[in-house]
Amino acid sequence: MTEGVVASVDPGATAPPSAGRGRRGRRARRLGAMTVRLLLTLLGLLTLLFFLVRLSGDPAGVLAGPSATPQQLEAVRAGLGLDEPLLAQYAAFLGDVVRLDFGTSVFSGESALGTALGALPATLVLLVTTMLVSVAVGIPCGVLLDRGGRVTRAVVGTSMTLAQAVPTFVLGILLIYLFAVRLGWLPAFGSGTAATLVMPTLALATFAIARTARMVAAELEQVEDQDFLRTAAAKGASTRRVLWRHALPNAFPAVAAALVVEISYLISGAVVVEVLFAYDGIGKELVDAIFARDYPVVQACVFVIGVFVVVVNVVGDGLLRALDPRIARARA
Amino acid sequence: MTAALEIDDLWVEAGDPDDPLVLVRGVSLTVAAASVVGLVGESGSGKTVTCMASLGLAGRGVRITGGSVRAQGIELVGADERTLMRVRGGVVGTVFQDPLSSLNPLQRIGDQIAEAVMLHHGGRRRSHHARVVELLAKVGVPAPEQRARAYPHELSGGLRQRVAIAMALANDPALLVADEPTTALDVTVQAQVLDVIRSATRDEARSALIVTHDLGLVAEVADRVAVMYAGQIVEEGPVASVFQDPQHPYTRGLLASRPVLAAGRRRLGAMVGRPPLPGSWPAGCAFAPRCPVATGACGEAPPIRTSDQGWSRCWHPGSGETTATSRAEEGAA
Repeated sequence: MTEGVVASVDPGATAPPSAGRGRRGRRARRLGAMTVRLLLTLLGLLTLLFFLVRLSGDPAGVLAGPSATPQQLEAVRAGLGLDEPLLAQYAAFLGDVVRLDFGTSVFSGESALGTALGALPATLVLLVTTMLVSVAVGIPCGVLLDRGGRVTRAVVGTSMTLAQAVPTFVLGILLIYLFAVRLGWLPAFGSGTAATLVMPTLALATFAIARTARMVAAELEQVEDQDFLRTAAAKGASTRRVLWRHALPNAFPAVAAALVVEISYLISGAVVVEVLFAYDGIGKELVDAIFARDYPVVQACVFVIGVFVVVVNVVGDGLLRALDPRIARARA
Repeated sequence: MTAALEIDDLWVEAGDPDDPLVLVRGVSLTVAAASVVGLVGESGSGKTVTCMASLGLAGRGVRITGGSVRAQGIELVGADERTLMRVRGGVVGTVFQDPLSSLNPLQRIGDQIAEAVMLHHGGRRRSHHARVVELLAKVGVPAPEQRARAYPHELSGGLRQRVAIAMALANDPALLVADEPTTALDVTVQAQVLDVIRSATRDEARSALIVTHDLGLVAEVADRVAVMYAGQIVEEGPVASVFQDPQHPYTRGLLASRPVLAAGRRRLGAMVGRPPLPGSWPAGCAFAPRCPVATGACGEAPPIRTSDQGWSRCWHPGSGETTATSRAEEGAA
């Protein structure tokens, strides 16, 4: 490290804040790597999807119906290309995916991808409200878990354990019983209005709140003994300011990283919750399609969910970069 | 004139209140207006704890059990948070040992300095930009406009410590407390940071309490020096007289164990033994087990003897011959 001989000259201490070309080059490389990762993830997902669907039964049998003659069945197979070798089918499937052609729903005759995408916004709304609630409630709970008195910590800690221990579907049923059946405050099921969003959000957020709170508490404990908190206090910052402006922001990148992963888990929780509350999202669409053996729609739904999870992870990575300037430089 | 800092019979302990670990035993120390005091001693002697506890920054589990601390006449022991907030950063600016970990990694350094100004002058952080640039220039940060936008990890250790000093000086405090301000830095950088501290004190008639184990640093910047051992101050006085004619055998040992290039000595006068840890401090004179001139009397707590303009806590003050090393100090002091 070369600190200049003359006190005011200090070369090599830092790269200038924006190092033009190099920075842009690194960003391009990062985006390239990310795209490759995204494509590989999707390829893996599609491969798994293709073979699982083939293992789960004969789509032609469903389509042709139980009373079909072997000749009819054969005709349906040929029509769907199911008489081709498996690998040829796989190649054809991938080709269709590249053209975003998932075929049409066996029952409604509409585009399978259109059906899946049409159900996505409702799920996104549910996920967004769930994340908002779990952050809004989880962070204060985490602070209490870390900073509260003995009684507060015990009460919050027990609540969080309980919240994590109760399965989502049990909680959902309890919520329906309480708020819809006994109190009559909320509709038991349905979608499209704000009221129908409340219970699915609660059912889904409960677990996420507990996870968020625990992460916040753990991260706060990590950050707690850091010298810069003492510096902030030495500047004259209040205990509250030290916590909210210095400790929590430093605890947050790790929490945010975990929250991004949490969204991937929430999607699977959303499937359960949407079915339970008859909430018309992509999870319910998927489950309905599975029971109906509507393979094109199943494939389209899984594809859309897969792309969503990958996109969330990419966005989450960018978010982390924005939150922690050190990451942006450290792993270019 | 009010002293910048008056610590009077300060007792500090940590751990279980029923079985406490005593860290500081009745320390009294005065930093007069416009004077610089060096507080020296080996690790575990309680010098850092004394400073941090005085400002209420010693951390959880460390508590003051007796005594009084006044900064510019404001009592800090038992003070409410509002008073402490006003004193910290406003009356007393603090610089810590490790300049990387003592800066918030997620905030631009300009924002961190601006926060220090804002906490005492109100307004928004952005409105103090001019002051931030002025402070950075004052501590010798080149290109202060641009550097204000840098994050701590983008700066070298020396620059970070300059930033930390700028932050401590943000509200023109009467007293600067610096805890081992150069220990974590490269040797070449140490001298530069020392220059910054010197100009912040001497040139601006600011008082300072500098905690260090570096006697050379004390010789360069301090007017008075206090030597701590086992939670007590064992000797205190003007730097020149303490370095030339140390009264306490521990002070003599410290001075003798300094490597001095020009002195041509082959062996360092290393002290025998290790400093005792808190909780295992001997009764009577805590230094007696390592002391070359200890006698039976040292089993009792030694009396305080005043000498010249200082004092020491020893049964046999000034009884050792002046060593070659301490004579070499005369030049530096």
